[in-house]
Amino acid sequence: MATEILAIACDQQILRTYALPFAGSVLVRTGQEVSAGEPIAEIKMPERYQVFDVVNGLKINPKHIDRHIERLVGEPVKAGDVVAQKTGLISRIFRASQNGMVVAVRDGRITLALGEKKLQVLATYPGTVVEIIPERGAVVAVQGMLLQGVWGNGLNSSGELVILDAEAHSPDKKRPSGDLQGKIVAAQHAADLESFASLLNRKPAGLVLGSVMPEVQPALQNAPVPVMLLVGYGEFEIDALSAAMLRQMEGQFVYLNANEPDPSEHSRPDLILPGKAQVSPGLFHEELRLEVGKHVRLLGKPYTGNTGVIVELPEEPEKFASGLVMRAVVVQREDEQIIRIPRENVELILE
Amino acid sequence: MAEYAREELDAGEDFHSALNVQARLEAESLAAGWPAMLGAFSRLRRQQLTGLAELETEWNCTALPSAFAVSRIVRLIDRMNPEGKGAMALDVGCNSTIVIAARGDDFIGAISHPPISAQVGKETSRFSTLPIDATTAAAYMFNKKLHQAFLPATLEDLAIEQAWTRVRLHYALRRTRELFPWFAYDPEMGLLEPYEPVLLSGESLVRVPAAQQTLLMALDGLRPHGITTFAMDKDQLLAGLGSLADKEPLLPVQVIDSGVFANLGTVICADAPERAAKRVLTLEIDRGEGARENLDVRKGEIKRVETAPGTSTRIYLSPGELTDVGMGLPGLGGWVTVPESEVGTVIDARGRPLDLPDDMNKRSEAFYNWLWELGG
Repeated sequence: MATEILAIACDQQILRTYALPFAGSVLVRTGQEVSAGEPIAEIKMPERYQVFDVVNGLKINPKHIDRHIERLVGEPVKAGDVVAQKTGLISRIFRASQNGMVVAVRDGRITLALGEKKLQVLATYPGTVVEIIPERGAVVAVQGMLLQGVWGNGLNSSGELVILDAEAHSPDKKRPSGDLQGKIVAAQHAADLESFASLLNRKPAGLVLGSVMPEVQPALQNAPVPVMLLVGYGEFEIDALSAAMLRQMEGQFVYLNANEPDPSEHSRPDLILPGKAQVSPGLFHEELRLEVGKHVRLLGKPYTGNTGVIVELPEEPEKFASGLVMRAVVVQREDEQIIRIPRENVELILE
Repeated sequence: MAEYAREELDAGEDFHSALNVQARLEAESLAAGWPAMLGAFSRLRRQQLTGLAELETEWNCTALPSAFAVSRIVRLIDRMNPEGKGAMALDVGCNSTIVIAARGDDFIGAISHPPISAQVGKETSRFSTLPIDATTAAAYMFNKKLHQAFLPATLEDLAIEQAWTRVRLHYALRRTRELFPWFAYDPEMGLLEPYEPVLLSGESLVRVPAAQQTLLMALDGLRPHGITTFAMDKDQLLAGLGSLADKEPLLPVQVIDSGVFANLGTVICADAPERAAKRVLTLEIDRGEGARENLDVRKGEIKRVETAPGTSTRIYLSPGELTDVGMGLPGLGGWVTVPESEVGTVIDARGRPLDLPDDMNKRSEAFYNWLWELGG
């Protein structure tokens, strides 16, 4: 079993891979400084395809089709160019409606790839390109504060971080719509759809929530702004370490990457405050594992969201209240209480 | 025709031709598509995993989808079964539930990804062994999706996990029925045709404090009819054995014969349209030593007959006039020989559909009592 790693770090080298799903062109070079929103790689694709039936469209004899086609496969065409024509008393002409290319001529039909659209991957925070992935993209690094969450809705944005206390985001309180415009807002909990809607109504650029009730999940998924959950579903407070990190970032310009977590890639959504320190691309991360003295965050009721320090790692499996026999980790919580919890039910904190 | 289609579609490696996949009007055989599916799977995995192609070359093998590998073993067990009742495998994990069933030439398999919704929360609450509301159940499920290695440490978490397992089984069987309309499953009545054995695997069925809990989850999830046997693949060997099958065909047979799957128990489902607490079945138990024992089973009950280690137990089923125990007709009984198993022989006289009390506390008490009867 691999222990989950959760980064709540002040001076962390943050590396992110931006890669295209298919081979394309990489637009950056190693050592280049990129800003948030700058394209890293792109694929140019036809906007649409058009198939023209030359035989029936021009009313010609299929035996003489070669006489009527004016373009070869692979040849570029501009809007208005003649692609095929029938001359004579009653002439018929097939013209390209947009710029493009002839991609196939077969069985009396011409296929044109028309227009152009770009599929791009964009940097989500400013940083330095430290590695090029040929034909796919690049790895961008930045040194700074990093706060990871557990869930995101797949969007990203940036703005000044504002922390709302429980009263400040109560839906009962009347506030002008749009008073949080352009800001990344952190709040403890969204108890219901009403409180979440009232937060959205204030037009934030992004939301960082400690926890939400399950009924709010569909609204989170469909929210028009990035939303990141720090702890999980239920009524839980933001853990002490994440809360401290939010306070350090408060009032500063932060980048919220609320990408959906992918356990197979060890990727999580995060909030980044880039620092000024130099990126050292050659350094490897130390391997993290459960060790006495390391900080962990606890999962499962009644401890969800609590943090503490590992004080013991017993070798022998133990029987828990559920009856399952599992290897335990002994943790001293912030309130000095010592608890025993299965090793599967902790997130190791990268500080 | 195939050549014409190949040229017309211009699909390159993605074009595959096969013989008729619907030789019978009511059934579709997708076996013709397997080589294409396996080829596509292999190409995709090679793109995704650096070094896989080199490993495949070095070991002279190809990566297989684990569900496909499991299906080979299910078909093998079906062939090994002299009674021809068919074989089934169920795997319940956090992300997906796999149903594979084979009987003779009929073979079906489905992987389902059950959603988490308010309805699933309600269903989970309904099948919980502790009184738990739908919101608490939904919160557990969402959090488990986020932390897939999480294991239940409290009784409440365990109750939700096990209730959710039952709901995931219902969903998977319903989904299988949607994909294969000839699959004999009814959402209310349960699995209408017997499969024997039913092999259980996956974390949610295997990482359980007691075998009795696994058996009750499977029983509630499938709601089988007649007589069947449940076995458990504790070490998740099914996929591995299936992968080895084309390299070492004898090995899976030898491993299965060695008793690598734990025999959970034989289940006799007694279904009778009778009122609750009325006697529906009488058992005469012959353990081969001393006097025979008699046991009455009433409607709504679950009973367990322990099996002695190293011996087979013979049980004579004497059903009531309207009670169907899977012997062909209601009221028809006979001798059944049951082997040694972890839980024993379970008689499920709760009937179909499963009649659960509306009150949350009474419902959880019913589950508790059933589990108590099983010794879990």
